[in-house]
Amino acid sequence: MELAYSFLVRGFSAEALKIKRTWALWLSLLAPLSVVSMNFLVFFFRGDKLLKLGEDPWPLWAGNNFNITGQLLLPLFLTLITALVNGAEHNSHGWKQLYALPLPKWSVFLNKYLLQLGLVLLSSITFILGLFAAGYLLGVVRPDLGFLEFHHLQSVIFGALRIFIGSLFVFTAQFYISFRFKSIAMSIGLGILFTVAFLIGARWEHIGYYPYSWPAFSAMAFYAKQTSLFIPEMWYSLAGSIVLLLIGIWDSARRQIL
Amino acid sequence: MQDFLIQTQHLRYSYGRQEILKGLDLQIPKGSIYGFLGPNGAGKTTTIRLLLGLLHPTGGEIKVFGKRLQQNRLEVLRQVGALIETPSLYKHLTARENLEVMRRLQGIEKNRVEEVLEIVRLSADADRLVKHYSLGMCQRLGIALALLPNPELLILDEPTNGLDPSGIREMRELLKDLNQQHGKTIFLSSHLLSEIEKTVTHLSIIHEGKVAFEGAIQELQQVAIHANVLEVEVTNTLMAKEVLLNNGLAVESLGGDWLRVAVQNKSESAALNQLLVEQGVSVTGLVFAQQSLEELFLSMTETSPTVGSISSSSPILV
Repeated sequence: MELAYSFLVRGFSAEALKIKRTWALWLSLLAPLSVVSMNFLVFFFRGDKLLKLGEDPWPLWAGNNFNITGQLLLPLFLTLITALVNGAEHNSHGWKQLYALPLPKWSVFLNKYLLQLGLVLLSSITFILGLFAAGYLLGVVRPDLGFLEFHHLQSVIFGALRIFIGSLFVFTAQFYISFRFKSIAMSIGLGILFTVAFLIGARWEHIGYYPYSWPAFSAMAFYAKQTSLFIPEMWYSLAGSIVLLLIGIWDSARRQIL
Repeated sequence: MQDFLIQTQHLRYSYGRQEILKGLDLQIPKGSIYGFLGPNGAGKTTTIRLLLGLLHPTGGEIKVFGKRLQQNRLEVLRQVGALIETPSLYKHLTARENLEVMRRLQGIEKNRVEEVLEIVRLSADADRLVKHYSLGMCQRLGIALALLPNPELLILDEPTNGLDPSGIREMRELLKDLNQQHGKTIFLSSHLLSEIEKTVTHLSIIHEGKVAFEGAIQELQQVAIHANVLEVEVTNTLMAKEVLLNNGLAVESLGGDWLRVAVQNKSESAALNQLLVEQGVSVTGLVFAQQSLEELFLSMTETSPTVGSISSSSPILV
């Protein structure tokens, strides 16, 4: 067990060094900040038309950010980040070298998975921080909108956490796709296809069983008046990603490199 | 008894229905530079991938350091450094960072990075991005990566592939140095005998998934010395051929007025000349030719070998 742990710690630090000078880290920071900045501009210029003055502006502010993130931007971000990081390994012909090292074969998959999960987590934290920072900044530059008069620390953090958990399956699926397929275009193409399929089928009554809808459902839970931290779609996402992760590890352990 | 670092027994590998290796027996002696030779598509890369556990054999057995590879993969790989085809390099990182990635993964001491940079003579360029490296430098960095865990055995797949003559010479010196100064056993593959014949101590030639020759390089030279031919120019090839065949010699037409005859040694040329002249065939040219190692290699690895294989005791005609 201790040995497995040391393989993972070493693997994580090696993987972290590999993304140096790539877009991966920047993408993880800039993607959430770009969503927040666009919404900031909308509220800065049109806030008085969107909000009833005197009422709490935070639900609409956070909800707008959550919705666009959960429906479209997060699935696309996950598609890009996994394709980018795994694609760098394909481009460097790195897999054969990794699998010929004296490391358990499962760790090759898990090391990369954990690093990219770390990037997604970093991105989510940046999103929460950006959301608060931009909200309070609106309170300063547009005091009439009333951002400084209300505070929603817990509900906003819960909202972001739901999206993170609700998107884990999409992350794992995209990770696995870009792990197996050499072509970056293939991974990105499939990611876009699956995301667009959700947008087209969004009105279908069973769409809730479609994995790429889970981030959006998790985001919408923010609006519900009485809701627990977990909604069913988040459980689906969590369970599905664990199963897929185990399949990936098993696949990696028996993988042959031609 | 000689110590073998790698032994394969009846190693077989099939990809789908295609049989790539048809029972390969190899023995790589400790301390050797072992050349693994064969034309493209003969199964060299497949063999190397099998030796590194990247592929699972369809049949047969691989022993590395006397241990069965499949059951002792991690333990065996700890003593093996490998360069598989094009080296796996992260081009957006410097050479030192590339080594650092592999060092972290394997949990090796920090100062080893400088040591291997020194060995492959890349210390001065260690902080340049690999995308600005020449092919020869990339290849040397690939060797540095293989050397990082200070392995006893190096497995190198076509380390001279794509290098220019000076790059090939540098690589040759590096390999000899690693073998003699650092005591590494080196297994390297190539499709060009001329590239490695000056470097290797032992070699095997594989052809269509089977071993066509295995032994020390001197043994191959012995085989080559015995493979002598005489090329004769005559006025009447038909008659000359009949005369020679009647005397139990193997003959082949070369086109024009030339015939090629297998002989044991140079002194036979006089007797042969006399024989032809006595039978009324005028000889206008006579050339004694020894098969070079390269020709020998080619004759072993041609898709349809013409007359007999090298192992047959009778004189050979190509």
